[in-house]
Amino acid sequence: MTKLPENLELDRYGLHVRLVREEDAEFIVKLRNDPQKARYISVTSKSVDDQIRWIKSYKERECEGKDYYFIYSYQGQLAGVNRIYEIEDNHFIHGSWVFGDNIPPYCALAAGIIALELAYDTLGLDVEIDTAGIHKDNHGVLQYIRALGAEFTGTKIYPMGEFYTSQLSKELFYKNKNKIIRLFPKKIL
Amino acid sequence: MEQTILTIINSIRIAQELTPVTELHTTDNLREDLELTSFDLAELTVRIEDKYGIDIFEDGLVNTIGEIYNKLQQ
Repeated sequence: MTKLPENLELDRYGLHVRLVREEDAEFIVKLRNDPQKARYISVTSKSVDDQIRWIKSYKERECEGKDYYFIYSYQGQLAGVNRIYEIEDNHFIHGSWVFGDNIPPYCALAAGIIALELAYDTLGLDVEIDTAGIHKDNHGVLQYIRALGAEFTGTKIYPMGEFYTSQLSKELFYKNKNKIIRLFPKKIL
Repeated sequence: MEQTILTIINSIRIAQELTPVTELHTTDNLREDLELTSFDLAELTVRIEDKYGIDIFEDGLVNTIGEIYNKLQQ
């Protein structure tokens, strides 16, 4: 199984990407507890110590090649996070995708493309099978995966509401990713 | 210029099955009042750059319609 290096550092589409570290705990707690951002994600403890425990568990799964939590910076400032997880055989889930509003809007879109490129290109995975789902009111993410041509596979009901599950093959990602990249500023392409 | 921005925003809103707005106010917040997602804002940025050759987010954040007008009038 191919794994990402622990010291992954990547500059792509105007963003800097690396894997999560314990010192990111405070940033993650703040980001995930922003009332606007928290609407469509699981409840996050406001305790930095709790988040450090979460990060330690991510790092254990990272060593096993099952989970990669990415931290993105834009112009030197922490900008947002996303994750590819439940990596097994040829499939994975892309999620935990939260970006602040203090950056150009394309950054969140670019982070999605970077995570999927790492999954499909670098790790050689074939399909994202999102069994966790996307909240039915999370229009931005639904727009995103529709643009990539994802197939909706069902619905799940959680206390937070109705979520749509989906599937996105490597083939469809490469066929459609330029529909997202066209939304990036010309200067970074 | 204001009419062009209104047309672009309404075309994005219509694509998201939102009702077109009849007019824009300089205080309208792009996310909260006009309900634009990050995806929509990226689309808006590209459409404005295509029309005016200006990346409205190049040197800072833009949250309101008034701030877009200011960027385009600079």
